[in-house]
Amino acid sequence: MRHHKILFSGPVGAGKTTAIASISDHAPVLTEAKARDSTRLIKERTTVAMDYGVMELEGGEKVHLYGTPGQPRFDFMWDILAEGGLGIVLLIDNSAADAMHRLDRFLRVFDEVIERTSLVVGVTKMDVSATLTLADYVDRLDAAGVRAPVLEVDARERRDVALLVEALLYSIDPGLDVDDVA
Amino acid sequence: MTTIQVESTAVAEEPLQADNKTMVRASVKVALVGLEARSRRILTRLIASAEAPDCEIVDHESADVIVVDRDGELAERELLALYQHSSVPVIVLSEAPVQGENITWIIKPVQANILLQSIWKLAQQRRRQTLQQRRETILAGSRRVRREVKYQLQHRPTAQTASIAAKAGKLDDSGVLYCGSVDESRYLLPRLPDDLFYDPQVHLQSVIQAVINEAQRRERVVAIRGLGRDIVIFDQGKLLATDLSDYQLRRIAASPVDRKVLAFLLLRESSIDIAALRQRAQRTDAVLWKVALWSSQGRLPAGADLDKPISIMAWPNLTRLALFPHAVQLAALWHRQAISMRATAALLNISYRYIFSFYAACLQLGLIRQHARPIVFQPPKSQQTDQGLLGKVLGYLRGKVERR
Ligand SMILES: Nc1nc2c(ncn2[C@@H]2O[C@H](COP(=O)(O)OP(=O)(O)OP(=O)(O)O)[C@@H](O)[C@H]2O)c(=O)[nH]1
Ligand SMILES: [Mg+2]
Repeated sequence: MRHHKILFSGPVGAGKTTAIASISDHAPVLTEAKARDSTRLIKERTTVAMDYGVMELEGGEKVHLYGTPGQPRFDFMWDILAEGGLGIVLLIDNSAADAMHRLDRFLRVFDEVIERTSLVVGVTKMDVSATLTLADYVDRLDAAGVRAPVLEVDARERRDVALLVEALLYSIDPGLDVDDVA
Repeated sequence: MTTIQVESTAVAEEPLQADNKTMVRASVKVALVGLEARSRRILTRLIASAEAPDCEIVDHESADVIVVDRDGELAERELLALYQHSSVPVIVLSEAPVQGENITWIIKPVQANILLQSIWKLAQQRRRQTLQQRRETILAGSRRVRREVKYQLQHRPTAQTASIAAKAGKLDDSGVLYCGSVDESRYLLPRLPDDLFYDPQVHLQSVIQAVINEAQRRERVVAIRGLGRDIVIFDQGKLLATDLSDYQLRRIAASPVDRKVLAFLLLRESSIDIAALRQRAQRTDAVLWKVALWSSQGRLPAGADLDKPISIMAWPNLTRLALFPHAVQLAALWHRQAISMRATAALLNISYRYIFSFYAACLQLGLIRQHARPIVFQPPKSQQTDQGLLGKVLGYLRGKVERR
């Protein structure tokens, strides 16, 4: 039986752990710890290894959901995790003062991964702050030559996360239903 | 004995699978012919209460399946007419066997589950044929679309063709609400009939858009008066509040608005309770989107060209907008490549009604771009995937999500 995976990534506090919990079949395995260093200023608990959840499909196949830790010191894991995956769900916290910076950083550091893998961008916490709009993110992606769906999501809402993943799937293949024409 | 007795109302033991791809409309249309009053009542009740298939009773001209009582008074004559002129499958209820092309015989007394299953099976068969015909009709229509489809296929993302959308799961009524119920065959006429176009300029969507622009430009609160209840647009045109219900808005959007009865009021922020408005506000982009859909109803904005390649510059924010069948799929396709609506219909093999509605709503949000020729912006990624898997994941997500 083949195994598949989808990678959830994004900076600290973007909602990766929450998003995986929203669509996983089981309570996800979390590797959170009390935040140390500067992360503590942002939040109480942070992911230190990776999050894990699973979607159990009909017929027994599974899609594993991995969440990368948000802190830059874990960047090295992303490459490994993204390898062979269906795609990447990038979450960005819109309420962070440097949200756009964080997107830039992601695009720069992971350009090779993005080149190989389909990407969707979920902008979280628009309810907390809406200073930046989706169009701002789209512009930035355009400038970096990345064409990806950008949707507003609340990581706590299963419906939002499911639609974001659906957008990823259709981006991989819009579902053409024709072989050839005469 | 002409009365129909229905034995046992237990419907099919195994759940009937709804295949989204073959479902053009949400319910199966059934015509009852030649039944005397009592039988008709019984069958109407049975069919109307069936959950799977979800049926409605219609006259025989718009039916997917026709049910005839052979032993009824009218039957002989009507049957003859149907045999000769109809491509619609016919179910004949009769004590004695009946044979014929296009005919399914069900013995009396009629068993409810057998009847319902037959209706479902025949309706599905018919829809499959319709789908096949649709693609063939579109492709046969012009050499240009065949050329374009060939080009688009050279850039297809995955090699396998089993459809993703076949797994897409439950249908809801959003298709009819937002994409209308125009008869499918009208979309396939050699020239698209005029009544499949509408003019957004004379509909509510343009009125709201104009006021949004005004509210932005003047940085003021603007109200539209004359529609029964006020529509107030504020917060630099980003928010809208109104006591008009969705139902009322839909009614207004359905036909052209008479601008002469409308008044536009510039309001002073100090004179209104913004906090209270904010409490019940909707976002204007979400309102424009749904109002455009309610006006479009599966029709195309005037001036749109079926053969011109188009794309969307960004995805509509579908997590916060009204969803309808194939919206996500269309967003993905049109964001990936510039493609004509005709080629879209042929490649995805979906009804034009969804394509036109999606186009109309995206156009209202300013997302549509025109192109001189088809282009694929997004080269296929090297990742290994197969559509069977994508379909299953989609089934997982949809099965667990209440679609709005
Ligand atoms: N208000 C609001 N809160 C959200 C939204 N999305 C996620 N959250 C909350 O944001 C907090 C942080 O989410 P996490 O899932 O822990 O973030 P993370 O990306 O896993 O963070 P790290 O593991 O530290 O990198 C949680 O309390 C979530 O409930 C949103 O759209 N709006
Ligand atoms: Mg986490």
